[in-house]
Amino acid sequence: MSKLNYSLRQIRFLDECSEGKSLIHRINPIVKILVTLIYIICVVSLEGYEVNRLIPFFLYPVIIISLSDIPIAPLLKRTVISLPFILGIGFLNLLIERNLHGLLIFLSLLIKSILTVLSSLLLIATTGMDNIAKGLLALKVPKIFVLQLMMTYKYILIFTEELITSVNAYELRSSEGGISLKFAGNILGRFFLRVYDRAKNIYNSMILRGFNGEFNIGKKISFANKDIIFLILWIIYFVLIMFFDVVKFFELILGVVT
Amino acid sequence: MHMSDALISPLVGGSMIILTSAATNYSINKIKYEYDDKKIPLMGVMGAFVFAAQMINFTIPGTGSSGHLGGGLLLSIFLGPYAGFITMATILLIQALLFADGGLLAYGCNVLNLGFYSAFIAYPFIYKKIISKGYSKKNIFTASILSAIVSLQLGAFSVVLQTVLSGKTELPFTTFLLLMQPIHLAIGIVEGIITAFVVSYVYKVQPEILEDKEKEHNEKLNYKKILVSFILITALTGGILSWYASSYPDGLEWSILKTTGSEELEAKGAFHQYFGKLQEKVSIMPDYNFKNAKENSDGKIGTSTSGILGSSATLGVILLIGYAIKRFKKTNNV
Repeated sequence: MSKLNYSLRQIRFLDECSEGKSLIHRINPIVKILVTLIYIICVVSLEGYEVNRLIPFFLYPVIIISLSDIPIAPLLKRTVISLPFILGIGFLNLLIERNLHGLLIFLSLLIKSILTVLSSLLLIATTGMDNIAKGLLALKVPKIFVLQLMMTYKYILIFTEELITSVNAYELRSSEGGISLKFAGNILGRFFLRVYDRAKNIYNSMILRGFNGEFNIGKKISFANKDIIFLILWIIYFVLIMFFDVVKFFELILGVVT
Repeated sequence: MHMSDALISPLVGGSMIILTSAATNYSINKIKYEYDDKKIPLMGVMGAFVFAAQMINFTIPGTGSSGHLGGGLLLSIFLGPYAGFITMATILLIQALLFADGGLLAYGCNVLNLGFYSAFIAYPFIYKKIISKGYSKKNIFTASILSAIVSLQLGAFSVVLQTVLSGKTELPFTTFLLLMQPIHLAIGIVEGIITAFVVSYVYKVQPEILEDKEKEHNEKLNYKKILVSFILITALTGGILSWYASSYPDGLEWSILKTTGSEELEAKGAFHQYFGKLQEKVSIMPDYNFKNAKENSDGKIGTSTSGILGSSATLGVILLIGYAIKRFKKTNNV
């Protein structure tokens, strides 16, 4: 139940974020998808013990957050929620390798998770699902796949709300906490039949509005100079910090100063 | 059980994305071929249905624990394997984008682990075989539970394999495997029971939905092609595996030693060398790939610990830059 409510809030939060008008919001979605992917590839290609090399990667989320005015608390909350699995793996590794190497791997898994999760959340928060769909189409992802993605996305909100009503009704009438497994069929099966009927209605209304298997996404996305600059600057930065040890550099400066 | 970016290497993540895109493309062509445009809205709403249904936790009487629906099998049952697979793939993409459940680079891994096995292994080879004997409560339950167990076991095995192949942790193959498989046996049973309850409810109330599907999906699945592609995937993974095992003297090799009695897999041929060269060429930072990991690690630990001060300084500067941008934006109203 709380998970259903939480998901609704999360989708609405990201949807609201994506309506911003900041510089980052106005960057071409294809460019943002590419930068995010390059960023993630760079982060994960670092080895387990290279914790130092991961630190400079924090610049990317910090700059995107400050330029795009995305509220930071909900983003961090979501990032923390996604951590337990990776922390479990890191902890397991620490049990097997009870030394500094194990600790470094644990730390690097933690930092890598934070960085990759933040960057993917920032992508959607500054771009929005509609623009992601346009970007995916431009990147030659098949139309049927993108159409399916968008339909699922649109109906998630509706169905989650309906399911909350069903679960609420059950819980108000039930003396025990939670829904027993033996009622899975009654709740989900009933829900499925409603959804199945709805699909027929949706199909009919799509046909009546002239659906012919095509997927129209409205205005085409265009490239501007700022998009190219955004892409190139970030690639230069990522390549730089992959080959140049920034932390070592700061260490040397600190050494000279003290 | 979603695989996250932090656990995988670009090579493993990339090859999984390529493999699953091929499966997605193949499925899309299949759907286009048997073109039924009624299926498009049905796939859309079914995706949203499974997405929402996954969030309900059902308590298991007498155990104090709970479980939820995975959905891969249910989608194949109601939509057929091809449409079911695509629908699952889109659900996983939405989860990765909106909820950071599984990373973007790990997307291919997740589509394989949570989508491919249920649609193309468990559904055609187990579920359909049992259900073809006729719909009954017993058959629905046996078919669903067995299929869910098999697809989750395969999925869990893949998680272990992908993690060990990526080499980002030092977890020994067997230890990780012994931990993952039993947990996913329990998860598989619960998933199978939930799926069976839903299917048998639908069969009781509106049997024509399932019976129509039965006719529709008959003889449309090309077993030979599936088998060939599965062998191809295995060979490809095996190729990476054997190249990896001989170049990285740890973890996996240890488990290979235990299981086969010889330290290396017999794959030192041209194929193996080719992959080795290819890796050196495509690797973003050849100096930092896991080939040298072991030799470098001792020296690196030294620099890492002394680097705490440097790291804090770097992080401080980064945060200062962020703060400066915010201040600048506020004072200049941009």
